[in-house]
This record gives sequence, C-alpha cells and structure tokens, in this order.
Amino acid sequence: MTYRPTFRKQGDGSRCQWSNCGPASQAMAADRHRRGVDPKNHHGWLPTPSEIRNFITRFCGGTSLQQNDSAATHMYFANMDVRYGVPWATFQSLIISGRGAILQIRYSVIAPTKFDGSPGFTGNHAVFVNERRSSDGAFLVYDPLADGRRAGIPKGPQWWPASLLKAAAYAIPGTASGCVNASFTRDTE
Amino acid sequence: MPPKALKAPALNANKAEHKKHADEFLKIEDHKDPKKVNKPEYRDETDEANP
Repeated sequence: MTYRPTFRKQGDGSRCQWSNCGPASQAMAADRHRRGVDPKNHHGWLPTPSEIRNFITRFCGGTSLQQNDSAATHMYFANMDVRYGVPWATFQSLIISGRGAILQIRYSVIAPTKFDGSPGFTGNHAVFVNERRSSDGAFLVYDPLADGRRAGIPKGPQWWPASLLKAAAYAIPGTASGCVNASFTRDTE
Repeated sequence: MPPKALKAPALNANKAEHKKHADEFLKIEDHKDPKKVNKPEYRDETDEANP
C-alpha cells in the first residue's frame, strides 16, 4: 500500500499563501519521502507550507523546485531528486516504481475542468502526485488549491485522468517537447 | 530534447523493471540542469493563484 501523506492546502492564512503552491507541495512530498516519520529536530512536524516558505525567503512570489528541495533537505532531511525534461513515460514509470513527485503544471489546462481549485488562475503551479491507479491510469493528485473553501472547488486529493495531468505538465512554457519537470521523493515501497 | 533517451518499461511491466529504469534515469546528470534539457524561455518558478 502506497503511503499517503497528509493533505496540505496553501490557503492557510499564512504569509504569501496564494504563492505557496511550491512549499505546500513540498510539505506533502517531505511527508511522503519520510513516510510520516518525524526527524525530531527543531523544525515542526508535519511539514507546513509556511515554515518552508520562511526558510526559502522572507519575500513572497513564486518558488522553484530547487528552492523547495533545498528547504526540505535542510529542514526534514528529505533530499528529493529534482529533474528537468523528464519524458512522460519515464515520469509514469518513476511513480509506478514507488516514488511520489512534485510536478509543475500550467493551470490554464485545469481551469475548464471540475478539478479547478482557483477560478481565473491560469499560471504556473505545483501539485504533488502520490500514485497511479492501474485500473484506469489515473493519478492521485494533491492540489494545494483544492481546499473546498467554497462550492465548486474540490477538496483534498483527487484522481486526475492521466491525459489531463500530462497536458497540464506539457503546457509549462519552454518545457522540452513530450517532457515534464518534477521533483521526486525517494522510493518508499 | 533530453540528451539521452532511455526507453521506459511498459506500464504493465513488473515493479522491478520500473525501479531499474528509475535508478538509471536519475543517474543522468543533464536532467539536473534545466538549461540543458528545456528551451530558453523555461523558468523554474510558480505563479500566484487566486483566493
């Protein structure tokens, strides 16, 4: 059974909350990476978006895969594998192999669907992908915007069709054709 | 395009094959550098969402 981390929403009232998709996804990824085991240091456990944000910068704005990985490595000993230009077939294979991943996506692809967690938002976004369901190929996606804060916004992890996840990841401007950009947890299985 | 094409196992391959592919892919250094595998306009950064 694949370990499922605690869902973290980015809209938690903390500083920079609406720019915290990266830190929120990283919080869930660190939880998965450590299978919920507290490293027992002076940082809080479970990981929170705000603590990761505060480690990265005192300013608001977007974050990168590298920044979040550096924070999680320092704070939770969760050293992820950040990789760019990952062929989609390889991304799927890494998930099947027993890893979770933070995946960069373009929200304009999600906006017209029932999975939209931020009406009107169409920019670059980060989600945590925990596992793939073999029966239909769908992926269990932890979108930090899916907090059910009002009617019509999904709440918690959702099974996204593979075609949707792939299209959203391909749509990040400048990404190599047929590839995605992601940060992988260790193999926890 | 990625500098080196490793063929991924079929989706229904056994988990050991996927683990082997994962280990081999993660060793490729060029995929650690976005400039080596993506187009110049790529930026490793997210945007601010709407409340």
